[in-house]
Amino acid sequence: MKKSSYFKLQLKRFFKHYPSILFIVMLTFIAVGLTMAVALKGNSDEEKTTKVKVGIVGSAEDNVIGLAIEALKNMDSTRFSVDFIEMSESNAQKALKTRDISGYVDIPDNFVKDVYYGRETNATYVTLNGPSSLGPVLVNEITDVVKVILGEAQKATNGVLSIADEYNIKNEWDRIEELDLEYVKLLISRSELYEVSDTGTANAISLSGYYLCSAIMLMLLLWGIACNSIFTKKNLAVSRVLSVRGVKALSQTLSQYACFFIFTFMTCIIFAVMFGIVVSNVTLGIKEVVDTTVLSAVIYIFKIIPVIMAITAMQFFIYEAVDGIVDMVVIQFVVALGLGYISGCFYPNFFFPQGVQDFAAYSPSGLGLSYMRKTMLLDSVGFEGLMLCVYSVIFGALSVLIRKRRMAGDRQ
Amino acid sequence: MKKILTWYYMFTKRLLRHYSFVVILLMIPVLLPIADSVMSKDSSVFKVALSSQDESESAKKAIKRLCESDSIISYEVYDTEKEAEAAVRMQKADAAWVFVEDLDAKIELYASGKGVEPLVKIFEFGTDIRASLAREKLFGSIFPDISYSLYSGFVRNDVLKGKEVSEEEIKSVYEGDNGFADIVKVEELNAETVKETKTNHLTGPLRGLFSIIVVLCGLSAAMLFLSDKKEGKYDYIPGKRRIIPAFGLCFAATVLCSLAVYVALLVSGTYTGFVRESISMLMFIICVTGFCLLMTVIFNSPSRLGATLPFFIILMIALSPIFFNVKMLKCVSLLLPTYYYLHSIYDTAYILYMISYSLIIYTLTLAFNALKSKKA
Repeated sequence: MKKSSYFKLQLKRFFKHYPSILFIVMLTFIAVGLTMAVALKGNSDEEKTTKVKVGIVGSAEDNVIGLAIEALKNMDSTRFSVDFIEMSESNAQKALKTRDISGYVDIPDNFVKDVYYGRETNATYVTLNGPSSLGPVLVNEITDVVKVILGEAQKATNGVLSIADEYNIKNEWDRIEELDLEYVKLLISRSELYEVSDTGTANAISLSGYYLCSAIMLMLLLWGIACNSIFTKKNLAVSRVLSVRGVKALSQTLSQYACFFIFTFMTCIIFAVMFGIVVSNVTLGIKEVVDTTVLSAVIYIFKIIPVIMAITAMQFFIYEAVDGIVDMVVIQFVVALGLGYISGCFYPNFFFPQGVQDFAAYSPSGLGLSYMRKTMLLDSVGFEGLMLCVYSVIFGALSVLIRKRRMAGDRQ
Repeated sequence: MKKILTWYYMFTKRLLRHYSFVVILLMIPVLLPIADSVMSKDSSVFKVALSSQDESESAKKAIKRLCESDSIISYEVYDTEKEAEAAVRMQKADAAWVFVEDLDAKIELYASGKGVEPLVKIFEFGTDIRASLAREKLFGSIFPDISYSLYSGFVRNDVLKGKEVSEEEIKSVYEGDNGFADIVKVEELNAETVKETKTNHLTGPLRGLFSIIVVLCGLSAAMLFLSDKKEGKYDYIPGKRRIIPAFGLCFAATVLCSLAVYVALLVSGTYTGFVRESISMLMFIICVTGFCLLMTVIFNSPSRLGATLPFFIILMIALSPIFFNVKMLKCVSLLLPTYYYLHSIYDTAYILYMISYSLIIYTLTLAFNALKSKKA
């Protein structure tokens, strides 16, 4: 049997499975895309979907508290949006249990008066011990700052009262009012305390661009799992017969890998065309793809061939090394999610400890992401490209070795 | 029942014969604690290079407060402004905060209301949410000195109006008061029922990701069943009753994987208590098996079911409370077993929901199976 004939046969085999895989994957992405679009349209006020919601329970009707909440909403120079919602305690507890709010502040009756007169009191920020996510962590950070500000202001109030008492100063409460006003002035003008210099963003990718590359990488990593039906059936007896007839382990492996790569590449091209059409008609708010056309999206896929090669080679190697449907799928998933996670497909990679970042930077997915981002910014990708090719060769060589070993083992 | 147990035993044996499956099962309990210890070390969402133009007391105190604070922002101190700025340029830090010279005097000027001069020079790559949040922490770090300065000037100029008073006296009164250290208390609504775990925003999602492995294990077992069925291995069993080996296989794979995940949670810092974890996991196994059985009946082809796996993975990652608590598409979230499991750890009501979910899903499976067998 000729090697080219074997390659053609493999192409046919892949093509037999490909339409159903592509159909379901496309359907998946279209369904997810449409539903997200509908859901986002339903919440057209974009801020509502991004704000961390915090409930206010208790004396919110108090003028001072109301003023403070309004001030917090409007003084949001931080652009980090916290949505304060006034509600009853029972509603707040229900909303917290259903995770509609990140937490609620329970303000006791006469809180402001007690603070004003220096009587010991406290507001309670109630949260829920639940699955850790970033929203509540950010709210906790802000709570810490609020605690410092309120605590220091209270120390000053008590100090003034104490000194006024010691020196028999009358009208001390008028003084306290003046002092409180000074604190409010300090808070309002706090942004003037910083002299901000932008060190230049010419070569930095935007967060949306970053996540676009992450989404492509995640799709590539999960694509291997979608193709499991092609790889799960291994017949070593056939491999052995083919070997006897001149199609050795190297040719067998290369032919199968080439088919896998071609079909993955084709899928990427199909998605690029779809993406190009969408971007030409809809504004996505990703600055890196503003002028993207169908052609430039397809060219981008050609540019990231080393990434597709390395990731498909890795997936092919896993399929070659592992037996059994359950094992294959689970290992593909663990590798895909593990690499995707530490490389920054879910959280930006700078969230991780330095050691994890360094490790991820040299993993196939880390190098792939860096390559894709740099390609998007038209930067040089020499090192990443070389490393990805090295990975492709290593995974390819290992796959051939495993095939050879299995065939030899089968013979014995 | 005896038949189900026999199938279960046979399939467990079959799965465990694959060395790679055993390796995965052993890997899971090792991976979680490793990830837990590595991720808990020096993770942060924002890195700041700190520096001061001179040796001002206020700058020293602010740097000390920032470095000692328990935060998701991490800080590194640099000797000079240039070094701190270079750290940002070389992307070793996300921002540099340089406290200006004569900080003490400038704080006094600011607190007196006679003028505002920048107290901190900030170098950063554009301003995003993290940078803005970090600036609030920066304000919190210099606020005690600003506050003291305001108080001290206020006492001298507005309260005592020129009366003799020593700085020590003013200071001792201010510092002698703890300013109600607990003016804002933080409480957890379910603190009495759920043990506090040692997770952070990086290790928190690991439980969710591992729960997806359990579902995938069940789904791949369903694929194995469908592939066996296609080869005619179950031809001797009447169509309607082929659901029994399917159950046995999905249950065997799910139980094995859940056990590995359970041990992983036990040895990591995410375990919340024997009773809660065991009941949740048991219900999760029942739900996952039911979910996989329903998928087996609906797709009825290994390649079709195999192609949908990424779809399920994306759905579970996006709609279960793994990374974010997504409020959208709740009706879709309710179809996923991971959604109930992850909530049940912190809210007992979800265990009841899991019972209802199981009842519905098994009823649907049996109904679909009866319908399909009738057609066949």
